Amino acid sequence: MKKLIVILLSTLIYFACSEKKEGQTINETKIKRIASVNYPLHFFVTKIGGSKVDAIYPIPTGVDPAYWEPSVEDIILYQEADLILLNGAGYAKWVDKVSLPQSKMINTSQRFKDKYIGLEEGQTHSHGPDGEHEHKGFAFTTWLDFNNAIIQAEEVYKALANLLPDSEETFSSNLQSLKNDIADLHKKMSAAAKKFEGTTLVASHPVYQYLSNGYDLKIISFHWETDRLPDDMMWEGFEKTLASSKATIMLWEDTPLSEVNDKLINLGVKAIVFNPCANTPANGDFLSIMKTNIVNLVDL
Amino acid sequence: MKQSLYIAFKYLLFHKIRTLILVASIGIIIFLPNGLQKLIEESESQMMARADSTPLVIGTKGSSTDLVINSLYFRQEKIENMTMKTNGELKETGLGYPIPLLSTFKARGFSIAGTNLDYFNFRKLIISKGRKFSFVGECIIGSRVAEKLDITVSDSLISSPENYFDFAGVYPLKMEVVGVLQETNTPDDYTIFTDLKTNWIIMGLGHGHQDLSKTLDQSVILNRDSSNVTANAKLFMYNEITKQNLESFHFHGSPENYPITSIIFVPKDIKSGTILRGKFEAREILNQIVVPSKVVETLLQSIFRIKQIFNTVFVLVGFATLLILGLIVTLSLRLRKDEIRTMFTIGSSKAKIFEILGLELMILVLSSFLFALALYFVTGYFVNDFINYFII
Repeated sequence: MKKLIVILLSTLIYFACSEKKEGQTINETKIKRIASVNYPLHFFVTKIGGSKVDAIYPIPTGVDPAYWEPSVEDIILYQEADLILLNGAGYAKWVDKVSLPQSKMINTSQRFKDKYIGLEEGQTHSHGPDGEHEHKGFAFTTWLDFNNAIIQAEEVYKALANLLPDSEETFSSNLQSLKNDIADLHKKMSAAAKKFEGTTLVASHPVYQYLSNGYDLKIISFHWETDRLPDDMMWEGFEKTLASSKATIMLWEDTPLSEVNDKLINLGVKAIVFNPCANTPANGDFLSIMKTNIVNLVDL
Repeated sequence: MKQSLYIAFKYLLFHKIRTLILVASIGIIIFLPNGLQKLIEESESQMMARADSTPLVIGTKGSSTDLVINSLYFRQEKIENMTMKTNGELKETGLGYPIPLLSTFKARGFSIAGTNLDYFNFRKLIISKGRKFSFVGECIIGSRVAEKLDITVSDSLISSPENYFDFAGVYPLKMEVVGVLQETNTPDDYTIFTDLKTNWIIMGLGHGHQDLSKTLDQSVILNRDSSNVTANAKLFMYNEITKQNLESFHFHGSPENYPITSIIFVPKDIKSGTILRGKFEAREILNQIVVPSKVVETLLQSIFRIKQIFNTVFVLVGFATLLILGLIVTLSLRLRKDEIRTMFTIGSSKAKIFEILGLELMILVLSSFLFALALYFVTGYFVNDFINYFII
């Protein structure tokens, strides 16, 4: 009789443990993996999704996510994600050359795709006189118009709520808080932009199209790198532009080389860092970097 | 009884060829209606299982049978292509997700199906070797393709040109095999899967070549202005996508206009599927939408009609065989008249002689049944071939 009780108890304990394990697996599978193609989207996911999601962002710091070249392992990481958040407007050229599950891909800028800013610069090509042209493409730092950033955050929320309907309330309250923060940025940026009414700014790189469009700023862009010295021809072209535009402020994605900065000062141009924050910043986050950008403009 | 069985057995063994012919002919007559029945039943269940697991198929207006056969079996019936625009429209409905398919090319006799990774999740296909395709120019092969072509991961396949006389047509593309699928006993075993973009590259909509804005070879330039460079036919196009030239691959024209042959649509639920079909009925979305199970059912009904004709033929042939068997037995008895008399003279009773002859016939019929049974079991292995050659 004793033996029978021992066997029965052992069996009960075994099944109780097994059930617990199954339960754990179910809980584990609930953590959905959300992959993003740039830092602003990754930031929105972490802010809205919080601990309910596993935000995946394999792009190393110091690399421009728009021109990143992923390895097979990186692609597998994206393929296995539950959701892949795209910026749209042709951002992340690598997406066109890889295979990703279409049903998991969300274009966060789809709602304002008719407001994409076409690129005027550059040269396209075609094959034969009747061949179709390759497109010049669109400007893609969409989030620099904070109204766009809000829309993109809303799209992130929608995608997360669709995926995890049980957590919709949490996501909704997180979104509201994020939207308030971005709306605050928009307000401050609009106020800062008023200071530059009727003036022209120059930019080291053509990444400020949406900033220009969203806040009525006139910005002329060059193709200068923060870690390289411009050659004589580049300076010549720059000086000609300065003469015609009377620009005195130059926006940079990062602090320029001291030689470049000195020469700019000699030309009467002040270098201002306005970091688009496309990739994970060394310090701070998307909101703090944008705040610093605005402060840099205000504190001139 | 034992002795009669021994004599009957020895008699049949002595007339080997005659016995074998009789066993084979009776066996085949028994097998044919049953074997055909099995083939049709198995084919029906396989075809219906494939059709039932595919909720909706969308394609251009035309033959619904061709559309379903192309989408489910990649048989590359000549159906008109549609564009990716419809795929976008379907995705925007929010009623489920579309899986675009493009199946117009072959490689070494096997169909190439261009799709995206959703197809593998939808069909629950498992990679037995290697991985899913990650970059354009990679492919995954079905288990039978791997077996028949004797290729595996890291080997390559070259797409066949559409038309050997069309020099300006599609160029062959060398594709790297990155994965082999686990056997599923479905048409997927006989298919080469690539990303849609790889198929568009085979079509010539996307390609890789030297950077025209930087090239020093002016002989490849037809015209150059500030905004566009036009290349001539001399420009060399890469026929293989490697890590080194991947960056140079690009597409021309609007992605919305890129061709696909059909779309498998996976609705969220039955209601979503019905709403979508309503949208097609109301012509909100052009093209046609079909329920594959209904199309396959109609196709199978035609085959069942043929089966009934076959069954009638088999009954008649069976009856004729029985008559011939009767004739053979009668003639055989006449030929064995002296032998029977000898048996009777040496003391065998009439009943014993009847027993021996009866047992001979019984052994013949039993052997024929065994032969028919063996054929019946072997039939199972030919279901896929039967579907491929006689049904679709």
